[in-house]
Amino acid sequence: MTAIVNEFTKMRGLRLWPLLVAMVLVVFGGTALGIMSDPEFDPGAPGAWNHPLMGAAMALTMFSPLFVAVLASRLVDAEHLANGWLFSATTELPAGRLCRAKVVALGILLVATTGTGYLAVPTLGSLVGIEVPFPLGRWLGYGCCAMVIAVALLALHVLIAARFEDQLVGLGIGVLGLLIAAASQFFPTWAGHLLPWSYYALIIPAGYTADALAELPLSYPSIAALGCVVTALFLAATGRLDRKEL
Amino acid sequence: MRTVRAETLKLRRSTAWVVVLLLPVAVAFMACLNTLTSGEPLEDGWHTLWVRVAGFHALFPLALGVALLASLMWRPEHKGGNWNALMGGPTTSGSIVWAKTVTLWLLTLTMQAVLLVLVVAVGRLAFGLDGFLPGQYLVATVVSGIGVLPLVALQSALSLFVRSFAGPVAIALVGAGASVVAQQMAGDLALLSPYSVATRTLHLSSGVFGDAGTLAPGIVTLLVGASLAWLLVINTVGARVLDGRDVRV
Repeated sequence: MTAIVNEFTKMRGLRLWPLLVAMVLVVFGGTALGIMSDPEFDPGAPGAWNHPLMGAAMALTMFSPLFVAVLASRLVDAEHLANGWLFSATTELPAGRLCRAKVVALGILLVATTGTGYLAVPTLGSLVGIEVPFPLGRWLGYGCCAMVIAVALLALHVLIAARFEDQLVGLGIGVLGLLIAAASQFFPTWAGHLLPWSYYALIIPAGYTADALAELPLSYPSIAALGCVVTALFLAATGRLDRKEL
Repeated sequence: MRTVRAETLKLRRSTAWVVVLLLPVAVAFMACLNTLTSGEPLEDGWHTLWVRVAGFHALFPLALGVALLASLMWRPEHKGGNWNALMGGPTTSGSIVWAKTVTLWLLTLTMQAVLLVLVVAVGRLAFGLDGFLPGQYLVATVVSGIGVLPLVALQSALSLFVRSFAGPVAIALVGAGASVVAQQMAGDLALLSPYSVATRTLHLSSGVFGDAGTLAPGIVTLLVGASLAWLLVINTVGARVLDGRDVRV
């Protein structure tokens, strides 16, 4: 618990709040674009909520991979400066435990920020006067799946940033991840299971079929499997870091 | 000239070349993979290929690539006592700002050239397209060499004043995203953003994101004028602010 509180204290000096505010605005902007980009948008149509849902999903797919990489890079870089890893290890906080604390702290921040931005869907949808009932279950379902993928990517990027002091590695992988997330919408379903970033394609809530925006099923079992696998791998990797000599 | 030469010498052992070569390869590879896995042919040959590769590259990867290169270029100056050495030396602030901008611009031009070569190679080898890339896209690539100047100047200025490596990259992502939205909603008014100028020039004559699909002299003149105006403003302000900065204790 103390380790997690320490991480929040470290974040104060890193000035992460502009990035967090930007993320919220990006999701709001994407949701608005989802509504306004279709000239035939009809607030009274049965599938009207698909527009803001798809806009928010596109914004999260495009921005989360690099956003997560930047967060992880900023917080872990603090340890590379002035022997932070060694200092923490001497205070009974070995590298693996420190990484776990960072993922928990950043994860709380990530979920809070993304969740706040995701409120754009009911907010903007109500503002433009969508008349059909709000699909609460599907909205929550997509939100939870997107958070699981984001936290999985966060765990991966914390490990990368801990292993490689050069931030170009982590950010470069973040940029490549962004490309994969954007391109994976056109991959076949089996290919969407190959890389963590391509899982965004498995949870797109709405898509165009025969020139109409229709609801798409969310792949809950795939996301659950991703969460379990990444958790197991992360715990194994950080367990190894705990026993590694500095 | 000496300051530009000094900056290019620093690139010799830099990892900037990884970004210059790898980013266009990643973009071209993704576009190629998408087309092949979808099973659908390129409906309009070279035009469809250009839109999928260069059109997408202009949206986010270009801004992110320039941001990474700028952060890499300024990183040595923010380490140890290098900032004090830089500020205490005989080189003027204006020379430093312009030299960094020119060097970053040369790296970006190289990245654009690599992308162009890849589009042609992918078209001929992967999809068996006949002929060559239409001349309008070669012109668009040349014009984009001027069009990236505002983006280059802005990212260089951000990396100059923000010591964090990741911060300017995050700003580039948000800026590029906001510019895409602005182009959809406000058309040419979006040229008030340096990110939009870079995106717009690479989309010239492609017919996407508000482009008319033709290479009109009016829009080319507007884009070149906007690019040079932005470059002058950003670098003049950057040099002035840097003049007022002191050494770090």
